[in-house]
Amino acid sequence: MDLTKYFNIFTEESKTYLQELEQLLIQAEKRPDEQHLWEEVHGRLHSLKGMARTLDLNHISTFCHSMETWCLELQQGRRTVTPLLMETLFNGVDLLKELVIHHTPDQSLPEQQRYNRLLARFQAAQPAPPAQPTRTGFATPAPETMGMPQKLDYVRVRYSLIEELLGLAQEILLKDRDLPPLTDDHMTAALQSWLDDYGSSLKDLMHRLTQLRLMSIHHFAGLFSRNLRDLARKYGKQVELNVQGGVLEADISLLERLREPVNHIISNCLAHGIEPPDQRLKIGKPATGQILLSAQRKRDHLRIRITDDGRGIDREAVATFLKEQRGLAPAEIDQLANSAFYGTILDPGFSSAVRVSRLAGRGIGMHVVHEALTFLGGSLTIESQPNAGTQYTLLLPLSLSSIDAIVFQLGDFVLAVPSNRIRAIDHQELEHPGPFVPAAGLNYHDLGKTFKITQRRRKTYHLLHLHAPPDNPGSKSENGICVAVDKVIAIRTLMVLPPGDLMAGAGIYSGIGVLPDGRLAPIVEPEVWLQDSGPLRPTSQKG
Amino acid sequence: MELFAFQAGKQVLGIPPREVIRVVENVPITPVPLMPPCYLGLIYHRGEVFDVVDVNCLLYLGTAVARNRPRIILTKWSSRRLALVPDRILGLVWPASEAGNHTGSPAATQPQSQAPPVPMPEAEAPPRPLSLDVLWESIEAQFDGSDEIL
Repeated sequence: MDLTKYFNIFTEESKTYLQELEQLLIQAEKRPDEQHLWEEVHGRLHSLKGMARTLDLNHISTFCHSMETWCLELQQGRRTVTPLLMETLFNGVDLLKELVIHHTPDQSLPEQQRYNRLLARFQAAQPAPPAQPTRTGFATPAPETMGMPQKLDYVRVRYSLIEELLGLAQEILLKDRDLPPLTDDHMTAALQSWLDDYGSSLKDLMHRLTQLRLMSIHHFAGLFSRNLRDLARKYGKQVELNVQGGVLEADISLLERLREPVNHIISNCLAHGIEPPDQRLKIGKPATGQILLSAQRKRDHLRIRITDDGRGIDREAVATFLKEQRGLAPAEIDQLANSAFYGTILDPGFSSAVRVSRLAGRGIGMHVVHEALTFLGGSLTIESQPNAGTQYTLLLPLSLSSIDAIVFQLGDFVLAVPSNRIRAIDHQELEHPGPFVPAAGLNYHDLGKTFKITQRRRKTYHLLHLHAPPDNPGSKSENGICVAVDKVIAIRTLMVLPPGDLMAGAGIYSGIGVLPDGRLAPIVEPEVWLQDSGPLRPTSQKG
Repeated sequence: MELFAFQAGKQVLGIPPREVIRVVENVPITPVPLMPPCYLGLIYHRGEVFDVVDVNCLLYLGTAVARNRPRIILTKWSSRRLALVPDRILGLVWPASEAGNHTGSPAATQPQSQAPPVPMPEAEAPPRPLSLDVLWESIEAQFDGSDEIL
């Protein structure tokens, strides 16, 4: 019997349990006296153990059982919470995360020694032998720990399945356009009514399916708790991550793309913002720093604010950069608004990091965070006050499943660019059909050269005028760049699908736009084509 | 072991049938600039986008051959999707040595409702099993060598 399917289900279910387990441990570490937290930890471990046993993954079930015993002792007050105990429990969860992915037999465990060491630690003070499996393979839980099973009111499905269903629904909607023409003889009132009802139901289906893609901000914020906890411990800081507006939901594809930027910002808050406990106490702040992730819906945009109550951004470092690198006079610097002044840290040349560390020097700087957000059609603003803290405001479109785009032809290719990147469209007539010659004074970028496309010789070219780059204090203001395309085909809302695996790997295209007639248009972002003076090259992004 | 066989140049290749989801034709392929020559573009099928590659170009020739309305094999394996354009599709085959073992009694191993795979014609070379992961690596190699290819 092929058990692959069941192993896959086990892996997915276990990942969720372990994520919940981690969140519960973080709470239990802060509030160790709250018995219900330990009961919930115990419950998650018990569920994981049961699932592992059904698949004969005895090394996992044994490990869970040992951890359970600790939880039981904590619940009964026979064991005290210490930093070492918590660290061991977190290490146990980390190991379980690896075990559920590589659910190999005991003999070939990738980290056998680590497994043995941790298991021995959990079993060392174990007062009673492990419960014997029953004939059905399940351990008999101790009566006092037997809680009511969770109500079965939801199922977990892969996000990709939801994407597939949405695509199918979209395809059925598009079929509407292929409907053969019906003569008056065919089109009775009853048929018309049926068609209207059918179309309405389909749209309703699309709407409901779209709701499946939503994830709460509360769950999203939970992704960062563990990383923050570990980093805080490593650097001797105390911090709490709080959430406001956690019930708000946003498109999972948007949140997935926000994961890395938000993680970087939160890490920055900890690295550069939150002071060590002794320093905080000296200046009258509580020893534990606060990072607040708040979410709010602003019409069709999502606003996420990440605020810390730390020391604020090093004002002197920013002023020095503006003076030395941007040539601004002190008076000019003083006149800059708070957001414009601190927006300087988004400049690729800026780095106030005293040293490259795991916290701040994670391979991407704030300018890359900014670029990532701009790529998503969003923005990032920063405000900071010395000794009061820093606030990062991210403003993003709520859904990435559709965008307003300009679809254009360039040689033999049809491409799309998000409308919000284009300031204006006009055209230029040449005297005779031929290659495009930019008019004098035009800030022109040769898109054909960038994409290595030979444009058709024509008399009329459409010009797309890009928005000027975001204001950068001190940078010389430029007119928006203009590109010439063969023809603008459409200006409309496109459904956006993720690019195919290979195309995504090329690192040039942000998505695939689907026109209402089913035609595709790869979506390009001006930031990509302007990043390099020469032709673009795809880059392999394996894995 | 049955294989889904197709011809690329002079080679007959076979991939696991479970990784083939459909064969389509008359589907427009959207070309994409700046991609390697064996990358023909994109197709949209049932809400999913597939990268389309010319198999003969990828494995043997190095340059794509213009085709009018090619038949395209849609494949899915692991978490990957790929559409293959071969020179000719042979379909589900049972390499001769194995087919011989079952000749005369296909019903013994096949459900009644399912047609047995056709044995390979004798004149046809037996298909060479091709792993889609290997094919994928060949494509990635093209990206890595983009300086020469583009």
